[in-house]
Amino acid sequence: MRMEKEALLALLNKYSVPFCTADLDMNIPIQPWRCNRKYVELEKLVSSNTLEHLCLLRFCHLTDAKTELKDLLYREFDIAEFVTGHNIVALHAAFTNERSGSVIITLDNGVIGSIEVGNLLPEGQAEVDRHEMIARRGVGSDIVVDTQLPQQSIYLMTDKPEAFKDTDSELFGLNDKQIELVRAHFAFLKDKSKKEWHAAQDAHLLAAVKAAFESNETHKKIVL
Amino acid sequence: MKPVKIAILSLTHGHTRKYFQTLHDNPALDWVAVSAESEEVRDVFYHYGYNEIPCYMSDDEMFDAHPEIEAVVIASANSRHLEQVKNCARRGIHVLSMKIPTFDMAEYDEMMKVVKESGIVFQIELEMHYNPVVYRMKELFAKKALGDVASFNATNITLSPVWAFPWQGVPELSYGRREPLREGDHRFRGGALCDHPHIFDMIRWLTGSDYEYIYAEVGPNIRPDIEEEDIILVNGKMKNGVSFLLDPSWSRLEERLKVPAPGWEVFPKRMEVNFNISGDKGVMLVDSFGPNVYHNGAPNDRYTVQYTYFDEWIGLVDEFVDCVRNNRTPKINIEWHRRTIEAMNACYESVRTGQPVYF
Repeated sequence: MRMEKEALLALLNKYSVPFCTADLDMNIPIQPWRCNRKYVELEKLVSSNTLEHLCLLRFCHLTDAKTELKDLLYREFDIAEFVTGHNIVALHAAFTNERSGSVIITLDNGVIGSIEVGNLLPEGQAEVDRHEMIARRGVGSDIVVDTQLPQQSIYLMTDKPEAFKDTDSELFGLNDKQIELVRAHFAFLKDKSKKEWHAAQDAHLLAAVKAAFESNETHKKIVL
Repeated sequence: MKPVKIAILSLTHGHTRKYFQTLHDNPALDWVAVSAESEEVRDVFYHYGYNEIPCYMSDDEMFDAHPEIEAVVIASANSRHLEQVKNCARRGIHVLSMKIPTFDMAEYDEMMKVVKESGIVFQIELEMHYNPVVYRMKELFAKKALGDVASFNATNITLSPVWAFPWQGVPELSYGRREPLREGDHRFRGGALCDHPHIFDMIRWLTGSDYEYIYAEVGPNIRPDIEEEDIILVNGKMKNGVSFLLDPSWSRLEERLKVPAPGWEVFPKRMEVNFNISGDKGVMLVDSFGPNVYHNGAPNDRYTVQYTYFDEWIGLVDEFVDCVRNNRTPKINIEWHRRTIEAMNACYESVRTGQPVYF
């Protein structure tokens, strides 16, 4: 967390945002992916009516074993609610060994969505994720048409191939997840008025994750 | 640090609107005023919602009303730059210049002299230097990740802005004079090439070398109704032996909107700056503006790239403020940029003669 703390401190100083030392701990649940630009843009596609009459979500997030399924579900459930602006009200889950599976969610506006999750990628393999939104008018996605993998900005093809995705010049050197964390805490410290909302959302998401595992056990759709 | 009191001049350059949020948000800046070249331009400015910023109908009127202004963004047609730079230099006002100070080398040298004698900061807006993907490229070049570079191929291809920013379609305003492309060609200098200096600069910066020779060829316009080139290819060699291919075309078609807005693009990605670089240790493929989010929704139901990561103006303005407050010389200063402009002029000369131009 040292890099993240340093980066947060630099932003707070640059933009003259008041803070105390405890603010740098970044341990409050604030759903940091809501500050990830790609989800912000997906949300804009919906809220600006670029996509009209959303009907279906198709999400996928696969990682290695370092990430637990419950954390993937928490994240993807919240992204679904963030980009649509609607809450999950029901779900049905089917998992295998708590390592892989899927959830079908229903939102309070009737939109449904599939969320594929798994942590069976080989250790160190880059994460695979996809967020597709299908509407009566238009489809939005963070994956290019006719591809299966998220794109990178730079592909270095040498005897040690590497790929890079750099998206934030002020936070250059941090990876996507670190940027999410720093940006989210920076936004929170600029405006703490949503503290209670974040806590309530955390409780709601934890309940949804618990319900997903319960659904997997009972083979029943759970209404939240 | 005391915020720099800043204004924008003219508001007619295509990049103008990119500054609005940065000038508004950056606590190191105090956005004082703008000047507009016409009432239509002023109305477009207020359409963006910055109603608290006073808008004047002439630069001098603005400067006289706000003697506190310390710096400006000159956001006008290329043909107006010298006159505005002289005005700023006379008043001791620092300048953040658009990417082309002027294509006339005598004017360019006059501008250099004025800047030097006045002591003002003069930074040229080559925003790619503040792009996080380019940061990574610079790091990989510094580490010699590709070994010795053999070839450097780059695109800076976009839609054409001439419908929204008409001066870019007028040779006198874009290039500075009405200069035919070549004998027997009805078109004039001032088109796509003039809009795209970035890759001409970036190859110098990344290879640390200078142009040896440059060759350029124009194709038939994909927009036959504009009087400047819209398709142009450039190749040649640097003095260190690196061969290059540069494509600065307006090769992405557009809807002919008067104000840029969603649905401007016909091709899904309205602008790209990509690099394909080979060295003796391998190859590097770079997309400076990717990945993104994609859709085929409103307004035209066409597959569209929704640009997702776009923050070059933050670093660019940070550097400008640092230079103003700490009396530093910008990375892209008027002396450095001269060779880039010469190289772009050499492309036109090559088009005219049909042969490479040596430096």
